[in-house]
Amino acid sequence: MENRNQITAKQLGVFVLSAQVGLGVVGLPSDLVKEVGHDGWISILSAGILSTVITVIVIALLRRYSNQSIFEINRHLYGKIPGQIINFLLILYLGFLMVIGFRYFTEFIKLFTLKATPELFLALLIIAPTAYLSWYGLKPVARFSGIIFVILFFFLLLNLLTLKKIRVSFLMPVGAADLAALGQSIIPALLAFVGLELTVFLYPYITDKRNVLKWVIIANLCTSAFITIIFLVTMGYFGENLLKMQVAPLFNLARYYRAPYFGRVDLFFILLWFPLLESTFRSYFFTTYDCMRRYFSFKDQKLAYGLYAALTILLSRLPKDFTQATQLGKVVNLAGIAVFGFLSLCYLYSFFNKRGVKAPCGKS
Amino acid sequence: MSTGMVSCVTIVVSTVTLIASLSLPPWGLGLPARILKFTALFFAALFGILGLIVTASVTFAHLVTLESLGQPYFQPLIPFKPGKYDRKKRP
Repeated sequence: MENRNQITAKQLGVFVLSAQVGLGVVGLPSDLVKEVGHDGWISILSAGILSTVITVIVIALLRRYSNQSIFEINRHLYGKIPGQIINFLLILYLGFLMVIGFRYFTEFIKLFTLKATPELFLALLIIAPTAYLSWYGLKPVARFSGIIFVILFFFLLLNLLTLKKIRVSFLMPVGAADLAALGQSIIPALLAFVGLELTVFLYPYITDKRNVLKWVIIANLCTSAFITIIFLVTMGYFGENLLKMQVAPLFNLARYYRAPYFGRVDLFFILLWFPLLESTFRSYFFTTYDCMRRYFSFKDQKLAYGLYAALTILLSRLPKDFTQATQLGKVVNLAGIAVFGFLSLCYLYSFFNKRGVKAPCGKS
Repeated sequence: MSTGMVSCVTIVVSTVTLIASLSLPPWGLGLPARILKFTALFFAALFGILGLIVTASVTFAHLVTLESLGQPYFQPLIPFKPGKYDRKKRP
């Protein structure tokens, strides 16, 4: 089983990219427009730069402790019992994000494709490929994430096809929003970059650790570029007022585009987005289970996994409706930022408490 | 077409399906493809195009887990190794 979890740094980059791009992108343009208007792309780029800095800090933290995940690092830094409590909170964060992401995913499918189907059936249908693949370990999950490039290609193609109808005047004047609003809008923009923290949980599984920084930064930059393109195109296509009212501008872009021969282009793109949403959910589904497995040391893996999958479905039913799920999505956003902050603090604290820190080369 | 019994799309789909079925010449390979086809048909009848996508996802997920002689089934596409496209290097 452990061998099935070994991945390369490049595969980790694809894994992080698929965790970032997926759920966060769907509603982000309209959320940002509400905050800063047509200057939302500046917030995305700022959030991209900030998340890249966080990535550098996180990897620097991991490099200070050879071949250890955040769980072992916490135990070194804060002691056995406080470290265990922090680890438990981190698992709760992963689980919370995964459950809310799953609910979001189910709601989107219900909203755009199967309106009359009971949500529980949809949840069972959606979880099937994820539960199947995650059982086989991180390697197949990371391999499956490679599908993201095919999907991103088609979405970039859609953006290219709609380029003719874009009105540049919708994006002007640049920098109209004030600095305070721009600063505040970085918080919702950071939601799209939540996913890079998975590195700290999966670090021991990476075979070529010296390339981790490079590939995670590349993944982060790809996410920044993709989301910026999506924002610019949807803004140029719909304009500020229309974009504000939309739940999923990315899907609406496909809905408004009229292609020859194809009747429902939007359906094609929504379904193309399905494996990507699945990949985002799967990244967290796998990481949460793997962390729980390491934390609780399950004796009966099959039973624990079955219970875990069932619990995921049940917990995802807790939010009453889509509105409540959206509100919880904002909590996820803040929790993600809190985890970024916590990891940065861990790095700073590791200079004061050097227990478990890897000795530099040349010293025993 | 003049009788109006089938639409143009049906003809196109039937033709593409027939041509695609010829891309699997060995009988042994055709059997699992047929089983998968009926599974996809069943789920498509139940859940529409989403059922089709889920069936494709599960099939793809299964194929991704497979390894043949220690090599991934989808190599050199997944994991992407462009150098392995060169047939001269294969045994």
